[in-house]
Amino acid sequence: MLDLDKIIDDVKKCNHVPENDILELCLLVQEILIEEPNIQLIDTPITVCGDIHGQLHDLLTLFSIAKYPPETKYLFLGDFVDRGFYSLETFLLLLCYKIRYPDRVFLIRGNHESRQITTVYGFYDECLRKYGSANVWRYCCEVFDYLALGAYITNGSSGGDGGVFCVHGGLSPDITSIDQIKYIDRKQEVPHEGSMCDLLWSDPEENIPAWAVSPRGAGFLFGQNETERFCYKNNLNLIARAHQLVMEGYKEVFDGSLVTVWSAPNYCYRCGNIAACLTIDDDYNRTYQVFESDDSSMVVQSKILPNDYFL
Amino acid sequence: MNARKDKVIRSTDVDALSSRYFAVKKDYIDDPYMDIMVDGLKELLPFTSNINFSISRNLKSAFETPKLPAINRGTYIRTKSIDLVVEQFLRKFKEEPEVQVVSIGAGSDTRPFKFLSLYSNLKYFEYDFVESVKIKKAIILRNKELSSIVKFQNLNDVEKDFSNYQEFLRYDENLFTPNYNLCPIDLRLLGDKYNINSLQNLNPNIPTLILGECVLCYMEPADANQVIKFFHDNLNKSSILLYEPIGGDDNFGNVMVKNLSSRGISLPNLMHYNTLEKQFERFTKELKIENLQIADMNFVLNNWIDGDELNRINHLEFLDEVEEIVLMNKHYCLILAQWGDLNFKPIQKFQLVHE
Repeated sequence: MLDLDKIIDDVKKCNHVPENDILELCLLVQEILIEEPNIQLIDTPITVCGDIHGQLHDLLTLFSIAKYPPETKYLFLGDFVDRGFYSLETFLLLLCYKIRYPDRVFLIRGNHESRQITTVYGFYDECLRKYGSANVWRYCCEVFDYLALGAYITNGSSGGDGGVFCVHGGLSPDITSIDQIKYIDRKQEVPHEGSMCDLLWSDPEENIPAWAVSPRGAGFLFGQNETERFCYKNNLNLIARAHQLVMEGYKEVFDGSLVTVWSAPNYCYRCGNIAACLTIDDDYNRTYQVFESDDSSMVVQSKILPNDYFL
Repeated sequence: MNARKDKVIRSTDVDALSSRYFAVKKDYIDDPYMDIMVDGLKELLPFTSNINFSISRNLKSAFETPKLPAINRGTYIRTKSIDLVVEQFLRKFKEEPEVQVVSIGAGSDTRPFKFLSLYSNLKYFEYDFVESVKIKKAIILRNKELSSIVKFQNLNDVEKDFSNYQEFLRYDENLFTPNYNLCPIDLRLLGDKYNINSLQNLNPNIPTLILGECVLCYMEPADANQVIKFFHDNLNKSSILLYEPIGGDDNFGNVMVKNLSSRGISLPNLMHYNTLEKQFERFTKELKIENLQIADMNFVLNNWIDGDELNRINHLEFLDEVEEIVLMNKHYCLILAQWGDLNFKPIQKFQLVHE
């Protein structure tokens, strides 16, 4: 039987977790995730977090500021892994909390929860380095395929204010109503195009008249018109998403109808940015908590930084 | 002058070369001399120290760990933009009997070979630490193609290279050919230990372009300004092109200082001249050089590279680091200053211009 408390404790200290325990953990969480719809329905109040990217120590800082689960209910908008040095520990910690408090911790998929992207941006290499084989990476990738694509946050009142739509990236030209997302067969590697890809890859852009090509090579850029149309049609008061580094930790655009939340402070131990999480209360009021990186962890890590500057 | 610190600064040449190496591998830039330089460095650098184990290991990892797409793109715009300015300079003065390019802190740069094979009136000068100069000289002399580009004729039967630490110590440190001059100069001593006559073969009266890529940033502001002032005082028709990091007014620069200090690299200029405006005042007010153009690398990328080329670059590899590269590019800049009767007007636009 899996000793969750011990694993949580080990993961927080970055101690080695046996490969078999990880397999068991991944299978357990799949059983929970498979029951969840593509768009999870979550009641307020909730704290929404953006990209974490393997910055375990900063995730612990976030928990110590916004309170550990189950005291606070959390929605993580994806990109748990890659770039940081503790992708595996970060992901395992979130999985442990998901298993322990399935109704207090919600995880949706980011564009980095993908086999292809993790082989370029660090998670694959990290697993190989820590376990000598790709098994652990493979178990985690199986979990990725079960993650939901978005969430709908509601205070339970009918009509009136409307709820909050949450997704990692943004909107898709193929999707006009949230209901359409329910029909996507999500249990697959993130495709290179189509609505599932767009939800995980798209970005809002100010001052564009219509859908535009994204410089990322996947997803689209969408403007205020597309956002307002989607909010009106789906009776939303806010779209909350992550995916883009914002130096102040969060950024509202389009007259407050869309917010980007970013939860990895000093991203890649280099960007010098602040991080934030967003709490939405029963009246849909938004409260942002901002936090900075723990300096002491950065100095240790920077010794093994690759060439991240132009010298 | 601290020997250990100097060694760390020399090691940044491996960073720059390995970045260009992977940018070439990924087809961002074309460089027919890259492999010669990398193979030569791998073989010869370990002989520059009597403890060569860690050098070999660091070198191996530098050329085996591919760079992330954001670094490749930054390396592309750095290399490409400098090439564009050099090309225009050489084209403008191609009818002159002679024209000079002086590269300070040249390291393993392959630019001299590219431009010397294209412009017969060009004289190229490269200055760097003595260890870097010896390695580069040996790489050139053992290679037929490079020797022929720099018109090297082994008249006095000089030693071509070295194969251990003792030979390295004895190896002659200068290379003077009809079109190429490679010598060890400690830039911090320009105007002090060295006067203009110490820079052999340099003609102060013909069009000259000085290049400095991430070199002045490692010096104290006073030393860095002394280097610029030395050339300003001694060359009569000259221009200087610098590629430098700038700390910015966000937290990026402070983090950069902290990160690089863990490698022993200090960047005294980064926060001192942390914005384009401060760099601007540095030249116009402190150095009294009026003719000046400055742009950050985002501006350069968006304004200097045409649509087709940009499209080509965007399709070379998948890039997820869109915001990061904008952030990085914002913290690097190109500075083009000139004086004397040069009248060099590149067609590329800059952000801040003063004439």
